[in-house]
Amino acid sequence: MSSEVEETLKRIQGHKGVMGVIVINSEGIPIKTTMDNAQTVQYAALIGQLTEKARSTVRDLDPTNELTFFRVRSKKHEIMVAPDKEYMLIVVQNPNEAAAL
Amino acid sequence: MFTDVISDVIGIPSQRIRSKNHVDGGTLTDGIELRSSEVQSYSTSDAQVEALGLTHAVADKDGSEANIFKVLAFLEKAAPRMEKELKQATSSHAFDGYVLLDDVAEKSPKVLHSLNSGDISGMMVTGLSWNHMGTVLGAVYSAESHDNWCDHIGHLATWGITRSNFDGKKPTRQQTAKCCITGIAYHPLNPAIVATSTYNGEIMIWDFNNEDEPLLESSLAIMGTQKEPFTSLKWIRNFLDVRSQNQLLVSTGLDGRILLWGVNVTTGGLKVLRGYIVESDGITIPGHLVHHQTYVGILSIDFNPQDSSQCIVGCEGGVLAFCSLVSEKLAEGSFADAGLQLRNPVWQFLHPHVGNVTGVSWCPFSSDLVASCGIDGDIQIFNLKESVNPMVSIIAGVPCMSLVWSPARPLVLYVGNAKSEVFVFDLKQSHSNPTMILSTPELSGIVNALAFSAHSMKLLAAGSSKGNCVIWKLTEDLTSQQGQEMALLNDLMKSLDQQKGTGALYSIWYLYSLKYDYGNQLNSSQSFNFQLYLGYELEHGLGTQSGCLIAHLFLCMKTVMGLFGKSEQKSPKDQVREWCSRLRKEGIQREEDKVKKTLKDAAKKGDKDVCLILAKEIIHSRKAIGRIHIAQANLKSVEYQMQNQLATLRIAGSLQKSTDVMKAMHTLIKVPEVAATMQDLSKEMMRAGIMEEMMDDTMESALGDTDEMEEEAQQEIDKILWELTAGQLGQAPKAPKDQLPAAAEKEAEASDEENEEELSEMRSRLAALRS
Repeated sequence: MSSEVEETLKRIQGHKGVMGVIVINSEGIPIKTTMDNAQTVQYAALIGQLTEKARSTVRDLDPTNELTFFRVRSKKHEIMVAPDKEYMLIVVQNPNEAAAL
Repeated sequence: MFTDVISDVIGIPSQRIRSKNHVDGGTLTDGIELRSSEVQSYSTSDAQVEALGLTHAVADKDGSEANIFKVLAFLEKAAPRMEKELKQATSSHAFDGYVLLDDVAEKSPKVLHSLNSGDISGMMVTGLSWNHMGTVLGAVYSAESHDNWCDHIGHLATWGITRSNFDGKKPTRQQTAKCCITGIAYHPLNPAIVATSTYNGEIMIWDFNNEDEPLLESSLAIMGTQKEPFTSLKWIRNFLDVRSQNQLLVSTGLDGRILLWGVNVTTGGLKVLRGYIVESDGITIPGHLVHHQTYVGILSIDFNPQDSSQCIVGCEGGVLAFCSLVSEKLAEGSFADAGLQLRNPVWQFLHPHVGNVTGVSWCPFSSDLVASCGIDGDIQIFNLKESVNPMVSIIAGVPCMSLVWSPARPLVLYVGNAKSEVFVFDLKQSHSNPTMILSTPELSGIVNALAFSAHSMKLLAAGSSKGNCVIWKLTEDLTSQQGQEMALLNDLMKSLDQQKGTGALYSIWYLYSLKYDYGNQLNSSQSFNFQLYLGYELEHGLGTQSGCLIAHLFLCMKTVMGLFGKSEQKSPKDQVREWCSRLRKEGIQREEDKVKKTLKDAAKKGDKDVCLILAKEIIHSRKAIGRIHIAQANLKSVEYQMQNQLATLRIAGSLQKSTDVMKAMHTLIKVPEVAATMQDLSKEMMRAGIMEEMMDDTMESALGDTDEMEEEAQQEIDKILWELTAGQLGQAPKAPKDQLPAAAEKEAEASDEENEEELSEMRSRLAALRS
């Protein structure tokens, strides 16, 4: 079972410019990661908070609506988040590298 | 009642969770030391994932099979979406051209590139154009002055500023033309197509995709050369056929023509679609009369960004016209143009400049606002909806040669002047002074051309008469619109229309500013005159125009005497033409009319004091008109003198030319060599003469015998003939000669006798008649 999970992560990691893939649970605890521990913990905590905020924003605007995906563009990275009820998938990409490749 | 009670110590259990902290700390050091180095290399990171995920990163203590299932289920759902997004991210153009703001905001505009080509020396930049992507800057060059026909080599240079091998000293591409190039315009859609116009009246279309034969089309084959130089080029949207995607090319010339060209950028078809001519005949420009010419040469043009059929045209002699190219009005004058119906596009004449209008620009934010600048150092901003008089008039005090409205900020104008500077006028801050002056030692001479990169509004290119170009990177505050700037602009347009008529003050200020700027360059007698005029002006409170006129006359005089500096050099012909047009403009009548109007207004309001003062002013100005007429006569004589001088100059020029020719001849013919050759030649001739004589002698001696031989031969022939013909031919006896003359004499005698008979008969008749 776990090998299939690893397979999927590997596939995502194989995309252009992807710097890391993290799966965290609803409590913000990392389940799977390809980044180093320090970064993983930081991303997990902070992105978790941001996701909660974004989710509540979308819900407040329209109670029938739901956050399904969001991306954050920064100077160095692009962070893509696919949240779900129990888990969320975080992918950190370097857009410049992606464009250059 | 109250007793002290000492209760037991209450203990609060500590909330600190020691064990958790401890565990995290352990994990952190572990992770950093062992994994980070591994993860960064892609080849090994995948292999490490399994171990990492299982041993360290799974903080979920009770990571059971059930959880793994859940994770897998989630991943099955989320992974395709994520992959889709990742693919999108790489193919997305959402952030193309998105430039990150610099961390440290720059305080002042900095020179990003300085461009000059070593091959092109002594030429001035006459036009600049960016391609529509803002990656290539094209510059065209021409000689500083022309006496008549242009026989210089014109240059076109382009710089790809984003290229890796970019070098400011070496253009990416360089093309030459047979004469000076005066205008350049990159095609607004196709980055490889460039149009250029030349001094000899040729339009050239270049296609830089074609490396071998970049010249796609030239107008020479179509219409031959134009008489007068083209001055500028622009591409505009096709307003004749809205559905058409083809852009129209517009050219302006010193012959007053605006030509509309249809260009096929793939096959190179080039043809004139329409022609327009800006006539100055029979129209009254407020306060001014333009005589002697039926057209005015166009120096600058700009189009309404919203409606490409409307344009503003800056001409020679200060004429500024608002034109519409949909005009069907035919030109009144007869202009020789084969097969081209010329239309008159002028909609309205705007308040003119005193001297050539060198730059016009249409506000990109409002279709009512236009700005113009001239060599008189004035910058005028018009609200076309409201008035033909300027809404804002800025006196820069230095001849202005180019003007461009900021594409990013509605209240900012950039003006290139003759002192190698670029003025930045921010109307939000000041209506009179430049808020910033851009200057750099890399840019010297007159700033002839300014161009904003359409792509990045931060890049401003400027080209000078010394042949160098500079690209400035402007600061953030100049390139990003500030809050409510549009509202401010609208307020300005409304409020400024009401405050006008600061005439006299304006002129006095103007004179002072001139004195301040140039006074120190005048010698004592000039400056005395200057003050005299100033006093005159103050005393009589004349209108602005005459004041300005006088001031400009001084400017001209200074130019003549070379006090103004070398930068202002023009051909004498141009100068005289310019001065004449300036001198012709005299606007006191208008000022009087203005005062009259004010007087009427005041009278309506019943303001007696004001009326009195104004009436006095009118009387004064009427008196002044007389004086002005005298002054005008004097000016006229000055004008004639100038023309006279020009003629003398011309003669001197031609003399100089002939001397040059003689000199050239002299250098070509080397006297000693020629003399030696001549001597050789005479020797040879002499030798040839002697030889001929000798030959003659020999020949004579040879030919001397021939007569005798002939006689002998004849005798022989006679003999033979005698023998052969048995005496019938050859020496036959000669015929008798004496018989015929005797008979003739007899006949003559007979006829004489007859005559005498007749005569005697006649005589007898005469006698009978007499008797």
